[in-house]
Amino acid sequence: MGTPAYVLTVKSLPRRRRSISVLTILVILLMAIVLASVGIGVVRISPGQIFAILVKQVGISLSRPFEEQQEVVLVAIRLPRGILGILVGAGLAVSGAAMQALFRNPLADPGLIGVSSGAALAAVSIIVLGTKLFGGLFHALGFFTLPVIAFIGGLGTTLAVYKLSHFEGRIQVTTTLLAGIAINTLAGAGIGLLTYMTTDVQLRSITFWNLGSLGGTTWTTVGVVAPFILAAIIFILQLSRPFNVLLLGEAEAEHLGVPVEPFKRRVVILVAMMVGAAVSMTGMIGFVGLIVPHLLRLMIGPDHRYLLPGSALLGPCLLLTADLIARTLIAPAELPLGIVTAFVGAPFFLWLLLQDRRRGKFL
Amino acid sequence: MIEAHQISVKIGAQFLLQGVSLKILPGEVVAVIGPNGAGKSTLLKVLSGEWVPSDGEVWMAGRPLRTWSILERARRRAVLPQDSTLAFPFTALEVVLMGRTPHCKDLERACDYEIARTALIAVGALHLEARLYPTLSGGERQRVQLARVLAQIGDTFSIHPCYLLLDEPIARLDLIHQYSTLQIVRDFARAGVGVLLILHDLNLVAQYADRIALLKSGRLIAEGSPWDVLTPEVIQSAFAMSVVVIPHPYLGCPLVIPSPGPDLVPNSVDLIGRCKEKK
Repeated sequence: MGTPAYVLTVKSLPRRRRSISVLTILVILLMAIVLASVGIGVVRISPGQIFAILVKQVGISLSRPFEEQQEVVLVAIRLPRGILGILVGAGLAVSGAAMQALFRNPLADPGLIGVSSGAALAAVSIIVLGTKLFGGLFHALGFFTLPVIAFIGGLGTTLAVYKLSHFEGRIQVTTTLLAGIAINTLAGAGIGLLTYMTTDVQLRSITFWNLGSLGGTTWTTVGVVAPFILAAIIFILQLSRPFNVLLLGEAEAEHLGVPVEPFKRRVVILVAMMVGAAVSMTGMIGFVGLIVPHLLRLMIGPDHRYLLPGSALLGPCLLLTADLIARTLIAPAELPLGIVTAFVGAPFFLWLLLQDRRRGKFL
Repeated sequence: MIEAHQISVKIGAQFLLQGVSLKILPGEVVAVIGPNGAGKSTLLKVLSGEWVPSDGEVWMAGRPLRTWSILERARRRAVLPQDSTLAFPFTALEVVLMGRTPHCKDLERACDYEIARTALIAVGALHLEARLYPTLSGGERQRVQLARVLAQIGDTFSIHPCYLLLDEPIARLDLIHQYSTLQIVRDFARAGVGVLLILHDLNLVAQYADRIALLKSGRLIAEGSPWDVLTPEVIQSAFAMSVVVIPHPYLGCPLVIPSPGPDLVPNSVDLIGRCKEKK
């Protein structure tokens, strides 16, 4: 390219430095929120006591006093709930970031394009028809039945929306969102039909699915969900660079050496895995996947090498905060988590729409 | 060498390209011209491997293009599409750094930054490096995209032959940047890069291209040096327009002067006016 007229100083982007500090802050913030989340409730546990209880589990006793009740609440209830919150928050936020890149549209969200409702429909089908139709499946898969079925449901709807919005190698944004609405409606109708056919006991757990909640989490739940979400997040983090290039356009990404079709297929499967696993245990929790990547992009820009890990940190922060609100606002009763995220998320989504319109951009 | 051999592209019953053969040699600038819808962009897509031809074969460096992996192709040739839609707020420098994707694993190295910045200097856009891409004007975006494409082959063309495939690289540029862009393209060709570009301005083609390929209705109807292709007869047959061709007073290349007669198109004012009267 010839010798440049002057010597170029090669320095790292200021954005990169900023991104790294934001990620560091998020790590600290997440730790603080986790402490608050497992400490606050009807039974209060101070950070010092939390530490003392935790080290007791590995056989070290500290002088710090705590009651036996505190230990039971922390270890059997709050801790699994907190960890599930981290997993689900990270899974949903990373899925949102991945979906937005895949559709090259900052408004994509696993909820909007039907992944969660597909997973929920599959899960509800299992709850209602489970013993009648899928008895053998329960035998074969045990605790994994729900996540596996929800994964298949999520994958099915993602592929359907994806195929519908694809035309001559291009993804059409409006078609995507409209197809998502149609698929959501269809899944909603299916859930409605199943609800109509159901017994009272099943009805309660279906309501739980539709509204989303971290309630009733056990270590078994965590153990079932963790491998799906952790594996998917680790895989997705490896794909940061192709995600960036994909934003230029599919043809451009291919010209830059990214095998686009296999890449997209992999992403769809990983997202279905994360969302399916999350939905199978917590029901539908909307808007986390939409808001988190957006907030992060405002702070650190769209580079997925920071956006994806950032989402995996900010997602849990948001979800645990929402969960804290959900279970303390009307304590000792508990609000469904999905309602809290929707109350925060829906206005935020409208704000985004207005922002886009102001910039003269139609979706 | 990139070589298209008897390429046909058929969609339904319609041929977008029919039996087109074309070579791009390292070190030469080949311009593809032709009326709208002649198949120019289709030809570029076939040469880049984006589209697989229904018939015929594209070769690169003696191997059929379809046997090259997507990454291998990206290390040898860069493609500038007609328009790129990037709605996410990357800075101009970050966009150019994306051109380094086929060469770096995860984080860019210092040399990638140097190549990206030098490419921005080449297209006269270093002052835009920190600007967000979606806030740039059409012409500025086009120059940043060109810098990205140059950065892609920036440090490899001296090792093995590389190619640039540019679809209307100057469509949105102002006068000075039209010429400076084509000068960059020429410089790269002189350094051994094979360039194929699609252009509409016949005088720029005459001035900067070594060879011209003229497409019409998916067929190659003329190929050769500017003086061979840019004759009044050939232009008349391709574009249905009469021109005068004289030698350029300073450069010696052909100078095409359009001389449309008054009967070039039916009088549209009358035609459209009449529609009103009928009502």
